[in-house]
Amino acid sequence: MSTNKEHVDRALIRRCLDGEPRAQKELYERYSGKMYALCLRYCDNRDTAKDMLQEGFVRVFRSLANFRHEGSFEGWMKRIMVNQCIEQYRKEQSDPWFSDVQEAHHIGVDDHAFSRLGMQDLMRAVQSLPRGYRTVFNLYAIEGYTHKEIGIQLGISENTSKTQLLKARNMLKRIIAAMEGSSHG
Amino acid sequence: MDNQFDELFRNQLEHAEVPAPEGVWEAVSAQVATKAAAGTAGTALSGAVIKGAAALLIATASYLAYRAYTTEPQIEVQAQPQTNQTQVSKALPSPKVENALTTVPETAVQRPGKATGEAIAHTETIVCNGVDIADYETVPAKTEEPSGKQSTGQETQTGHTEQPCAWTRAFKARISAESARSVVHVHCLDSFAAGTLLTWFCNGTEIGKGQSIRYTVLNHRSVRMNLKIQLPTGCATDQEFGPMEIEGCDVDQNLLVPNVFTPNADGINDPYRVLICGAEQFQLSIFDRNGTRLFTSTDPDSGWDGRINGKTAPEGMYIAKLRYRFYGHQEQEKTTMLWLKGTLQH
Repeated sequence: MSTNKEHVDRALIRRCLDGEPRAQKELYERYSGKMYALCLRYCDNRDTAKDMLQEGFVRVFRSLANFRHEGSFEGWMKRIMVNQCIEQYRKEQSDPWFSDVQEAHHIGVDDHAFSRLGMQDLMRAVQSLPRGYRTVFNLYAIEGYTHKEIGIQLGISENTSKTQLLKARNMLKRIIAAMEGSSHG
Repeated sequence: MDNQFDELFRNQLEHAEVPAPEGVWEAVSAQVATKAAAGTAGTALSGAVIKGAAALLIATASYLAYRAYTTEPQIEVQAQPQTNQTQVSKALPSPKVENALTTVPETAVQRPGKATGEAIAHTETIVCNGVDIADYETVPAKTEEPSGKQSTGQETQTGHTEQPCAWTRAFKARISAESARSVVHVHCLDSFAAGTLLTWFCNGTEIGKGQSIRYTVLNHRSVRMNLKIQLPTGCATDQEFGPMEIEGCDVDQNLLVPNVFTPNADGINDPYRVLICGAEQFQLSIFDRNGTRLFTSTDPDSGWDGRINGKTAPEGMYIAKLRYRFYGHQEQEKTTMLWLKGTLQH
């Protein structure tokens, strides 16, 4: 919303396109924290998230000329990062070590627990979801994709996306409960 | 209800910021810059010519710089001229190298056999503060570097120098990849005067200091090692080794943490094990949901068999907590939910 932010972005992009290395670094520093947090949400370890961030930024700089200033620059960048993470998801799909859990039971959760949990706890909870749940939850709950879009992006049916989301939510509740439990031990 | 739940996560995570790890910007800018350079340089040949010209410029500039500082002859150099004359070495005025930054007592040993003319590849004995720093076999700075050159570990050397010292030389290092562990052991074979700082870099990131270090290469198959040598005199040089291929893990990642296991003795995922390679330290603990510790191991090869005091653990969710450190990296912790399914039936 803030036009000032747009002005800064616009100026920075122009300088980048003019080939000014310092502008590229400024742009990186302006957004790398947010983009890294995004990558962390989609990955279960820092090394993969770091790779996503790196490859994502390379893409950002290489396709900077294609940015049409039609939406917010941050949103455009986020989409590139999300796509990077979705590609990684597809790559990891064939990995037998990460089989998704088939079942998830309802469990009572102390609602007050949530308010005590900070960004890091919630991030860790999302990271500890099985890959499929994590990806769907991120895309739906945080990025705001529809089930239809998720289905197309991940190559799954709309219904699978819905089921995965439900299971993700249930599991998050369990995880948060377990986190509370293990912190005493 | 579900919307509220999602919102809780969205509020905390949508605009979250986590400082990006070090080294990412360097890697990004290198890749973006490489692309641009490749576009303008055209052919590999013209690239090589440009490199050569740049090397000549650097050599000339550093000579002029050092020349401006020169006062007294302070480093004694013996040289036996050999072959391999190159353009770059012509920038060196004579084999007698002087360095204003050092002070050598007059007792420094004078040796006969000073060479004259434009010596290029020669053996120097460099006396610094009256001490022999080392015998180096120098090589001329390269005017071009064949692209795609592969060195397979062992002793590798290049003649890439770019610092205010007046000499051009190569140092030797032994780089060995400890097989199947992603660990690189680098060892500089030259010896230096006390106070010399040896700094190692792997793919552009500083990884440690010292004559000899071990480093776990994470998620890369090919590495380029750099050694920066800073003499107590202030002279510094940068040496590049590689690229070399790492014989690393069987997997692409150094750490794989399964989140499901089935201790049903079918031979698949039976003990719960973490796949880790290149770790200097490792500890795996398993907790139940009450936070009671059920299992601990510091050996990645020994996993949890899914039993508690000899009895089969019930199916359900457990917590696996990992602490590990790779060579040259900081200790890390990772906590994962672990689903135990398909227990052993009695």
